[in-house]
Amino acid sequence: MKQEEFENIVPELREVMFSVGRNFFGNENDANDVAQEGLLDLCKYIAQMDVSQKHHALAIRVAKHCCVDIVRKRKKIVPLLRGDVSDYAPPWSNRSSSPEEILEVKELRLAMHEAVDRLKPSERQLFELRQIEGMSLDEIVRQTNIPKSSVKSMISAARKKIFKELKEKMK
Amino acid sequence: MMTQKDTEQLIQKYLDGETSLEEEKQLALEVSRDGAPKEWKLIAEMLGKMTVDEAIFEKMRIEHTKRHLISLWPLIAAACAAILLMVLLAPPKKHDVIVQKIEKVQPEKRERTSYQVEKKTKLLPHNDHKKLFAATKSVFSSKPRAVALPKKRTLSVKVEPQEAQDLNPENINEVAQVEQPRRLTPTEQSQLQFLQQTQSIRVRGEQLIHRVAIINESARSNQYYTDL
Repeated sequence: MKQEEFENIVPELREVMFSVGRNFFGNENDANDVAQEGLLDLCKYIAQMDVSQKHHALAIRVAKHCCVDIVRKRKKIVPLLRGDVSDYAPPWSNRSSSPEEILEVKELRLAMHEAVDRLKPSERQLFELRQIEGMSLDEIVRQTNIPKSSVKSMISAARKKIFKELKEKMK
Repeated sequence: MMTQKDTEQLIQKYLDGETSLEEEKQLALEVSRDGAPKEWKLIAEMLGKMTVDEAIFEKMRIEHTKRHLISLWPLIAAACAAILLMVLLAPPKKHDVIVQKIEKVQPEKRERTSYQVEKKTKLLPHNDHKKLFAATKSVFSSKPRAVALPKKRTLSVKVEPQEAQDLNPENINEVAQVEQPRRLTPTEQSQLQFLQQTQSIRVRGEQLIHRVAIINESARSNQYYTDL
């Protein structure tokens, strides 16, 4: 998708993300923040977005991620604002305070990108459809016209390759 | 929360490409927990921040809804208890006593009113109609009066071809259109019956109130004389 094509669907996607934010936070200010940050996040995926497809599902996923991210950021300032997010510390949560840990997280992300880049194009496409767009196997089959068993085996191969590479890098 | 063994089995299932989206969300929650093993963090990174954060988002929403409902329970329980207490402990009202007194009074024998439904008038043969019409016409033409007539229904009569030949063409319409008094429809009849019943109930009610007043008055006067 080109930048101009993306700009055409921005108002629609913004509305979707705004409603996710409003449902979660219950106010319009935070919902605006979610929509704003969500659109910035969506810009990273323009290259992977297909013009013929609808991207509401992706926008909703991005908006949900933004909601959790906003809560995570605020928790640093106001502790116990919402008491669930503190139980989780995924690598991108920036919970680690020491410079070594921060460096480790950066290395992990870089290794992940490199591992994905080294995949075969078909494997990479299927892996990203699942990881980024959150598509089910049936949806992937419908979009790519690849048999379900092949989709499963290709996704499995991609995951195993990435996991092996990451493990070796992190040793 | 899953055990470590369950999580590792799920990780293997994920690597084999056998997991559903729901299972992946469950796995995302497990592997991104604070203090999870390093290997699990790799899986979290592979699942992607969107999958993990979506899972966290949904869990937060569910727990928020639960907490909201739990916080409402004491209020609901208190409201129910208050209503129950009000119903049980409220003193009987005055009108309850009056109702009890009224119930003791023997009800009057109810008169049954019967309504005769007008029978369907049989249509007369056409010659008779002609005569009737002629008679009516003579009466009305001799003495024209401005009288408000009741609403009348017009019946159209099928005329057999043989009979039609016998009729004078001038009078066909006049004979065919016979005016009949308006009959009450079943709905109107039931409405009328209902009105009469409500009227009789009202009268009975007034009589009862009057009697109760007399009883009260006499009781009061008896009390007065006993006091004296």
